[in-house]
Amino acid sequence: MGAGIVRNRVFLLSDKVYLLDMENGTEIWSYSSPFKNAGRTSPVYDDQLNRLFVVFDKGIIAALDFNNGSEIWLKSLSESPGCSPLLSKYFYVIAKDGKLYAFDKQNGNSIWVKTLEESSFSAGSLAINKKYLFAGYKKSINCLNPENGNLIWKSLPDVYMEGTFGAVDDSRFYSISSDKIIALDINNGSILWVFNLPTSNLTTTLTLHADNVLVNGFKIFALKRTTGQFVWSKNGYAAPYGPITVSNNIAYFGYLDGAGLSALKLPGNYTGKTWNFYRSDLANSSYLPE
Amino acid sequence: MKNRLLNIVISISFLLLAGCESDNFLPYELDNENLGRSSPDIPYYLWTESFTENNLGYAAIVGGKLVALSWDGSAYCMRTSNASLLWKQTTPVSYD
Repeated sequence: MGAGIVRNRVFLLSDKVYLLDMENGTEIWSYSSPFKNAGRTSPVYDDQLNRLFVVFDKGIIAALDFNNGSEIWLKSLSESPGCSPLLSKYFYVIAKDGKLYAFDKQNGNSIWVKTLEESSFSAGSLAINKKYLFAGYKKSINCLNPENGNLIWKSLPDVYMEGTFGAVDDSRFYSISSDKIIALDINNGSILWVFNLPTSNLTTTLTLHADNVLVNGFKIFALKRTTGQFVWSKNGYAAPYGPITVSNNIAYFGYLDGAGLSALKLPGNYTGKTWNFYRSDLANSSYLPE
Repeated sequence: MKNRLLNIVISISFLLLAGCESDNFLPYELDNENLGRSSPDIPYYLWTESFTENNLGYAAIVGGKLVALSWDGSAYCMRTSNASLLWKQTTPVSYD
């Protein structure tokens, strides 16, 4: 499940796609997959086309008119999605069989398909910066040309990439797995630093904010982007859960077991953009790194 | 007597667990969360709100409002300033 906010509208995907009025939560339209399957990924919104792109569990991609939810095109992946899609010049998504797809946003035509690894049933992660597309899948991190899918480098760090999240800035690609955080040089894939987590944690995500990588494990903590050096940590009221969303130098995050949501004022007075995991940031153009 | 022994065992277990966490996690001398909010280098909580028994996952923020999703298909909209709940919308969700 995922959601976002665009122009005073909230979109979310559960068993169907919903568009809600931000003012009162009332439903404006909903859309069901033609195969009646639900979605666990985050929809993405394209400002130029005014379209919402959704990937359902069985690998069905739908491009919808944002105003009324009408279907513009439908495409199928070879398998269920292995991650939430990514929107840039093209629409990118990884299927669970290791195929990475780039589709034309306008008509859904295939631009290119790249097989990351011949294997089945795994999850991956996608991130993009101004030059490269990064795809984490199983034990590999792949840096590709976003235009044609050509492989620039492939790194095989000792990290199992399933259920991981990646983030990228102009110098480094960061990935978090169940037991460590790594930073790679985006130009050649060499490992710049590794931060070992003390305990296996399946809910970890990371966000890039100011000079730091913000991580939610069973604490919230910050590492220096350049060195991986520990900066600060803060206990949550329970085990932090899900991505950290940052706005106005305040980090918002939820907890496991229904323990709620917290707002944590971050040190400093950083006012620049934040690389939030959360896809709604694409809509207000802060998804890409500053 | 049994209960007292049990309590002691549980207490010792917790102490051991606490010790393990300190040793295993971030360097203790750098684990600065107890330094309070007087330092500009230390994060501090503005609020924590609990309004659902389900896990809250994704959150999006625009214009001083935050929308959070829980895994039961509910969306919660609240003010970022004080976490006051503006509305809740529940959508059906089924897990295979």
